[in-house]
Amino acid sequence: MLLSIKNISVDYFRGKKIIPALRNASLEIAEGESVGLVGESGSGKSTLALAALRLISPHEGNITQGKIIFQGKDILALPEQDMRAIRGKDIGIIFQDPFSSLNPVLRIGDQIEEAIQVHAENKLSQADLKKSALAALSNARLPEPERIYNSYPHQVSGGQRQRAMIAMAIANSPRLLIADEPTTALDVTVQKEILDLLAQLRKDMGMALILITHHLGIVSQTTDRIYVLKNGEVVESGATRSVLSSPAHSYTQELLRAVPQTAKVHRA
Amino acid sequence: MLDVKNLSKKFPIESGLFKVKGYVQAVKNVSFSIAENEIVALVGESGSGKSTVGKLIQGLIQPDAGEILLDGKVRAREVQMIFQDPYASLNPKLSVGTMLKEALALSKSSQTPADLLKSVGLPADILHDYPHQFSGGQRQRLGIARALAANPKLIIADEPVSALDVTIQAQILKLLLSLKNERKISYLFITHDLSVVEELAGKVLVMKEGEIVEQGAVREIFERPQNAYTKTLLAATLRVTI
Repeated sequence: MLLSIKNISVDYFRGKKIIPALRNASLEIAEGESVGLVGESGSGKSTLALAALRLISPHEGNITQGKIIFQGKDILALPEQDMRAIRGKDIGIIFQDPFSSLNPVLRIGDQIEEAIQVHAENKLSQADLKKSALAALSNARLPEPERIYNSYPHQVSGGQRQRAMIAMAIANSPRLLIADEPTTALDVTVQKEILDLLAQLRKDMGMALILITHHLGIVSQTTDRIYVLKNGEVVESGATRSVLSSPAHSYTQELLRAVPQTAKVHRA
Repeated sequence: MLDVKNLSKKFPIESGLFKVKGYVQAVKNVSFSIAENEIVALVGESGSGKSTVGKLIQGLIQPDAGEILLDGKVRAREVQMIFQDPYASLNPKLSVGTMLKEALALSKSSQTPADLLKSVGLPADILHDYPHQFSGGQRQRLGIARALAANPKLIIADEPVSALDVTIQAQILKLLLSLKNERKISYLFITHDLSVVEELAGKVLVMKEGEIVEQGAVREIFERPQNAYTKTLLAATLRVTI
């Protein structure tokens, strides 16, 4: 198992109040597998992914119980330095809004190079860094990688920015990519291109993918298994096809009822 | 009921203070009509000009050319608009009761605030509450209640559900449909979500770069799209396999 999350609970702090965000949530993902986390806002789907990267800030909340094992390592017991070595190297992450992960005042090429250098064992030459950054941009199927390399984030289109963020996330060939609503802000035609790109990268690099979304059409088309979350709990999980064709939990049934009839197709 | 003929609108692209660098043609020669009690969907991607068309019809901006003709029986106030982000369109300082009373006074309607709340499925005891106290779905219902104050014949709904959770989306769409039947309202439904169009609308207008590239009956266009862009949009729709 590449990543195994067992019975995780997370609380968020709001002033003096404690808001439970996750209760006893478990998740497993194997090498190369594609898993969807589905739920509405506040369901805990993003928290589950953030917990796996230990990205919940101690000011905002904490993990109150559970175990997270990634490639045999006990994530919750790792020193911060070792955790930093995993983030951005073995596990990549992309968000809905590329601006939140790209620095607006740095050229895209410089940012990808920095991501590569941070995780390199030795100091790399500028020529080697540029070569790797351009390779990452081409792998993200960006036309004119050289132009994008020299551009600032605001100088490229929304779809290209999302591809640039993907290029940065895959520059170190992660074993797992976490994508949190990666296409929600994009037009439908661009959304399709980005999802096709993620599928292609998984195939080429043998990378596993956790896709967080509220869109059942997306999980239906791109994931092997899904976890359905509601109010911080995993209410149902299983093979995507069987969960969507015969949902057992009433909430999954409700989600499916909310999909227009015409947006459902019967398996051939 | 509504006839739009050769509507055009361009916006200046400004560079620096007061300097106009050029113009972007947001709407080019757009023509279509909406019949009584009909739902027409206007689809397209960001920047296609679809929201500009909505604002032109509502009178929020003036066209450079073209005509917007309302049937003699329909007054301008009877065209109302609801938005993607209901919070931005509700005055945070007005209580629900005050907001609805003001809207009713403007249109000299005989309805009461309680009638409006009932029509949109909200309880009558929220008249003293303020917009920030409500969820996204409830705020959208408030936006609809305010629009109903004018006894609208036509509602321009600009992405009214795209910011909402999917189960809430379904509830709001159901509400819009029942209001159409109860009050004989027509809608211009502006959206990028084709799956909603198929379920809701009878007619669809596909917009790209300011122009309507294809229009007609939803079933006809979804089954036999003629335009290359319509085909691309349809191919990008991700359906749930069950």
